[in-house]
Amino acid sequence: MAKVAFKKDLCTGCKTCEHACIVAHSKSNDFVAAMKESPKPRTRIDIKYLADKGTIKAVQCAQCGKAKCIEACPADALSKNDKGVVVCDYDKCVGCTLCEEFCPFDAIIVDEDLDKAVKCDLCHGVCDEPACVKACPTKALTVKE
Amino acid sequence: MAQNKSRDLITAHMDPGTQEAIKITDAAGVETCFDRFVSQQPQCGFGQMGVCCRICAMGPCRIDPFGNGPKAGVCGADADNISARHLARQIAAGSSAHSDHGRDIAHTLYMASTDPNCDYKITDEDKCFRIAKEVGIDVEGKDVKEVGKELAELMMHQFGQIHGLADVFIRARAPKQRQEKWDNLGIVPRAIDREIVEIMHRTHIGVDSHYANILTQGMRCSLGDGWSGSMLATELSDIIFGTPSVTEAEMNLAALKEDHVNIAVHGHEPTLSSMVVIASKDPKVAEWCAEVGAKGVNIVGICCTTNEVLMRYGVAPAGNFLQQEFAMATGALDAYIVDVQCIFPSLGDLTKCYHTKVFTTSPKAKMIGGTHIEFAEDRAYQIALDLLKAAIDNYKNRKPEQISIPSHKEKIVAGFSVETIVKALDGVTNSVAHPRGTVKPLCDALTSGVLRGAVAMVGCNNPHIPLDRNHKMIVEGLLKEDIIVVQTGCAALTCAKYGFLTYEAKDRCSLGLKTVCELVGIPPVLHMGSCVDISRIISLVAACANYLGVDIDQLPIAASAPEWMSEKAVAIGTYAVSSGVFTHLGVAPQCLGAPNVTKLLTQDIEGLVGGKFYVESDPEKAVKTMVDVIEAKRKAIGI
Repeated sequence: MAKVAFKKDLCTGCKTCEHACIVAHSKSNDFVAAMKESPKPRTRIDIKYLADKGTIKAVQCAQCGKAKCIEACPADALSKNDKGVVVCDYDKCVGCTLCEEFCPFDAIIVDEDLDKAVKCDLCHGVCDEPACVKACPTKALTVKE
Repeated sequence: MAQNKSRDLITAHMDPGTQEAIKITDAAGVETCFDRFVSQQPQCGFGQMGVCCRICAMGPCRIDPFGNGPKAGVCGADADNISARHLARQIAAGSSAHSDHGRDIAHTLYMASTDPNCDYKITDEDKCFRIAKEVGIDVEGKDVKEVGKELAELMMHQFGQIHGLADVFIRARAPKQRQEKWDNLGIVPRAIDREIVEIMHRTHIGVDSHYANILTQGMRCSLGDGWSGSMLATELSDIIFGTPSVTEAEMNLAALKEDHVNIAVHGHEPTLSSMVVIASKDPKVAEWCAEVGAKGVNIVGICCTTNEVLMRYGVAPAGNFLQQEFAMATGALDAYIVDVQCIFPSLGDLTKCYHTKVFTTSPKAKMIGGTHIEFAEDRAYQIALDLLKAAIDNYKNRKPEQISIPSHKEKIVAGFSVETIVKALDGVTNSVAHPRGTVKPLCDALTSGVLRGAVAMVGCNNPHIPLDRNHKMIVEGLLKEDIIVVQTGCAALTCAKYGFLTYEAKDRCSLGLKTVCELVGIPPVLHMGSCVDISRIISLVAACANYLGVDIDQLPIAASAPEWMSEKAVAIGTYAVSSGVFTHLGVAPQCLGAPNVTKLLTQDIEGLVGGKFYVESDPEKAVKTMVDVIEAKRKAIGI
C-alpha cells in the first residue's frame, strides 16, 4: 500500500504541491487555463500551519488500512482499489459529507460545486507519480510504499 | 507554464554550434543554465502569476490564484494591487538599467568635450551638431567641443532636473497627436530618475493601491526610458564612437580562433569595449602575442556589447545571452571582459573548470570568481591595454585537452542605424523629383502595399519556451507575408544564427519584400543594434508616422519579443505599448493571476494609447495575429 509521506522539517510552506495537484487534476492540465476553469479544480493536499503547535502539516489522505470514510459512506461510493488507494465512485456519491465528518485527518472534502467527495487519489490515472511529490522543491513529500 | 520541462525539449531547436557546445559541457560534467532551469522546475506558481508580495515585513503574502485561499495580503492588497506594484518595480529596474547606461555615455561625451587629455573623442561631428540642433541648442558659431559639452549637459539634466519635463526627444520626434495623448494622460516624464523614484515610493506599503494608477506611473517611467534614457544613450554613443554603418561578420561560437588570444567583451556598454577594440591595434599587443606564441588577438562579443562593437568595428559575435557559458566551455576563451547587465554569476564558478579569466570592470558589477580591474573613463586606453595584457598572459594557461571550438558559423550583416537606412533609401529616391535623406521610399513601399508592414522583433533568450524555435518560426512567417523585420539585441543574434540577417535571406521572402531588398540592397531582417538601440526603432517609426501625417498607432507595424526575460524588457514593452505599438510577448509577464491588471494591459490600455500587449507562446498564432493587426491598420488608414 502506497501513501505520500511528509517531512515537516523540510517543508518551506511554498504550496507548490497544492498548485501541482490542482493543475494535474484540472481539465486543461495548464496553470493559466486551470485558474479559469469551472468548477474550480481543487487541491487534494492542503499545507496548513498549526498555530497551537507552531508547525506545518500536510493535510492529505493517509489511505488508511481501516478507513473511517469507507465505513461511514452510506452510498457505498468509497472503496479501496486493487492498489490500496481509497477511491470515490462519483456515480454513487451523494455528497452527504459523512466521510468528511468521520475522517480523522480532514483529508476528504465534499466540493461545493461538484457536490462530490474530493480526496487524494495518489494521481492514479492522472500521472505517473503523485504530482505533489514530483513538484516538491525540497523533497519534503515522498512516496512511501 | 513551464512545468517539468526536459532539457532536450528546451534545446532541441538550437543551432548546430550550440548543440555541439552542449555535448562538450555534458562530456565535461559542467552544469549550465539549461541544467539549472530544469532543476528549478516546477517554478513557484505564486511568483509566475505575480501574486506574491515581499514588499513589507508583515509578509511575504500570497493570493491564491485558484480563488480558494486568501484574496488579500495582510495590508489588504489584492492580486491586482500586488501584481501592479511588482510590474511597476520591474519597469523601474529596467528603466534604471538603460538610463544609467545613458548617464555614463553622457558623462563620457562631457569628458570628451571638455578634457583635452581624454582618450575619447567626438567621432561623428556632424551628428553632434545635428542632434544638438534637434534638441534646441544654439550651435551657431560654436565648435564641436562647445556643442558636445552643451549637449552632454542638457542630456545629464534630463535625469534629475527639478522643473519642467524630460521631453527634448519627445518634442523633437514624436508625432504631435502622440504628444497630445501623453500630455492629456499626464505621462510625459518629468525627469528620468524622478519617475523611477516615484515608482519606488508609490509601491511602498500603503501608498498607491489602485492598480491602474500604479501602471500609469509605470508608463510614465517607461517613456523616460524609451524616449530619454535609451534614446540619449544611443545618440550620444553614435557621436562618441561613430554612427553605425553596414558591416559584415561571421558569427557564433566558431568566431573563436584556436591560435589567437580570444577575448570576449560581454555586457552592454560601448565605452570600454570600444576602447579594447581600439587598443588591440596597439603595436605592443602584437609584441605581447608573439611572446606567448599566439598569432594575434581575436576580439569577439557576447550579448549586447557585441552589437555595439559589431556595428561600429565589425567585431564578430560569439553568441547571445544564453551562449555565454558555452563560449567559456570551448576552452579557448582567454578572457571575458564584462561590464554591466545580463552577465551570468555562473561565469565566476566556471573559472574553476576553465582557464578563462573573467574581468569585471564596473564598480557596479563585481563577481565571486572574477578578477576586478576597474574601468575609469579618464584612463580608458591604459586600462584597455592592461586588460589586453592580462588576457594575453592567460593564453599560456590553456588546457589543451579542453579546447574544442564548434565549427558552425553564419554570416551576419549589421549596422542599420536610422542614418544608414535613410542612406540606403536614398539609393532608390528620384534625386530630381524628391528630396534625399527622408523615409519617403519606405513609406511609399508601405502605402503601395509592396511591403505589408514592419515588425520589430526584439528581446532576449528564455528557456521557458523551446529556445530559438519561436524566433525562427515568427521571422520566417513574417517574411513570407511581405513584412520587413527590424531587430536589436539578443533576438537579432538569435535570428542571425539561422542566416536571416543576410542579403541571401531575400530568397526566404515573398515577392514584395524580396523586390524591396534587391532594389534597396538590404537584408529583409535589419540589425539595428543593442537593446538600448530600440530607441533607433522608435525614432524610425516616429519619422514614418510624421512623414505620413499619422500617429504611431495607425502605422501597419507591430513589435514582438518571443523570448524576453529581463526587467529591461518589461520597461521596453511598456514604452512600446505606450508609444502606440501592438506588442506580442512570447512569454507571459508575471501578472496573469491578477485579472484586472491582465485586462488593462491586454485590452483597455489600447483605448488610452493605441497599443496593447498580446501574449501568445504559439509562434504560428502569433504571426497570424500580427498579420491581422497590420492588415486592419492598413485598412483603417486606407492603404
